[in-house]
Amino acid sequence: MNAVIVAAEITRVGVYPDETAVELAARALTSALDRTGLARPEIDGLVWSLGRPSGEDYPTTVDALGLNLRFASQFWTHGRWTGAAVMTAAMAVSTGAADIVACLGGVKRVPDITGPDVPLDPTSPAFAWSIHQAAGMAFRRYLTLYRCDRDRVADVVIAQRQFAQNNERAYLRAPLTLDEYMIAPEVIDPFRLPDCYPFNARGGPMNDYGVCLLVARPEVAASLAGASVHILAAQGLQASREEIWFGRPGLGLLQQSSSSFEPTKRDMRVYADAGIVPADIDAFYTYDVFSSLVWMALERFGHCEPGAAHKWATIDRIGPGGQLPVNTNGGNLSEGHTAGWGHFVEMVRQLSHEAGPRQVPNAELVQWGSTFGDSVVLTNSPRRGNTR
Amino acid sequence: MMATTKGSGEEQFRAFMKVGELRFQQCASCKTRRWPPSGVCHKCLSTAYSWQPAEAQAIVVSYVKVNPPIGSEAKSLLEVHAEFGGGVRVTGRLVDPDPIPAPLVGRHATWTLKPGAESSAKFVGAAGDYPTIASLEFELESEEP
Repeated sequence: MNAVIVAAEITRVGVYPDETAVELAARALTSALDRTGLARPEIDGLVWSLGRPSGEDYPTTVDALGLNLRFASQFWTHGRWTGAAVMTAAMAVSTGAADIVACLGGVKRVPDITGPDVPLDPTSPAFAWSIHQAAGMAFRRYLTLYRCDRDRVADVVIAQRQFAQNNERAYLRAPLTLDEYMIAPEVIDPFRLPDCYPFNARGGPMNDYGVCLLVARPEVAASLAGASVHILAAQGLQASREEIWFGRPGLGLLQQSSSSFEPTKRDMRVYADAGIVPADIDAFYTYDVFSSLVWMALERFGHCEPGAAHKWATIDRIGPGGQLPVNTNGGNLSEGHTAGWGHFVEMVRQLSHEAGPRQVPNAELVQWGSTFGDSVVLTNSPRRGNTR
Repeated sequence: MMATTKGSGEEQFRAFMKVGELRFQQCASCKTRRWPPSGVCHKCLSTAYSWQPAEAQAIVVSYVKVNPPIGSEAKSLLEVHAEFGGGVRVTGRLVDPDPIPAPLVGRHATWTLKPGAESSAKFVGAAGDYPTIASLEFELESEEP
């Protein structure tokens, strides 16, 4: 792809009772403009990634922020669209539809969408039929198919918390030990509390944020201050009756087939397009609103064998200093639910070697990949970038 | 079997539930079962279908235990995902889940619909929830000695 990320800014992930979604987005946009030296009129493309109901819609945003665009697109607020939004921006600048695209969003989840906190009532359909249940059903199916120990997923949670301890943006930064994890409440078995994104009593995400990634054509990017991170390859969200949210194909839920899973050519195409293999990746980022999704994403993108993640994804391997650090921002589990945008900001930080204590030494190639099969590979190496 | 019909079927599905019946659509053309209710067959795109009664038994394929808040004396609930014919898997609540039989996955269960079931069916979740019927209850069949 012929596209470069020149800025990636996100607010602290927290609760902003007095600010709207657009105001949070404006904060991130202002930071991105400051980093690059760009003026607002130079932004001629928008991928508004966080539409209603949690965010705002693009016309309101464009009006409020005084943008003047020749390319505009919008997704509804959900983690499944994060990779697709970045890919859309890259395609826009690669084709000349725009010179500089802002992947922009703001989310105001507390308290207007999820409502005031109420005691968790297990008889309430509002909670019992929640996304937690859906993800739990998928995880139980996985545990049954591969006969693995649920408690091994503690390593995912603890490793990401170790990263979050050094991330000042993170919502949860307190250390988490295995003993603390093991006695944490089983909210919806098979999930303990730390296996889930920070949520309120009705199951909704706790936190608000604003985010802005600026994506430019390489010749435009060359004249700008700020980051220089090339979008090396990208593949879109996969969609079929085999795809389920909070799982992956072959788990045998709904009318999905129940089969042995192997990554397909579709899953692995991003590596071929980038001219690399999975072992070349220096750090991996995935949508992790539940810890189980990390195991399934690692398997879907060939970082370990199907059904082997419970043994492979140890703290030593995916935590600080590991062979394949995962979600070095702390992920949705610890940094807070950012639908994956915090992950992309972190990927740019890592490739700009600005990640401080979380820095992956000599990071050159990092990958986003969700359980839905979408993936984006970023690099800071011009010799790798823009090869297609 | 009822006459072939058209439309999404959701309203009819709820009407069946109201009288305690659980029925699934079957494509009039290719005989594929549809779940959740839909106006179009995902296999052959035919819009015609008939209604088939659900089998008396389903097989548990997954489950989650929903625990009450700390300090609450409420009981835990056990939601099970159970498979009917045609690969249709539906989520409902297991009656008397304490203690959870081990293994639970693979057990046969019969079903009933509590009064008011027609209003609890949920087919599309904005966040990707699974289709569920809150008033569908399963009871495990006794195991062979």
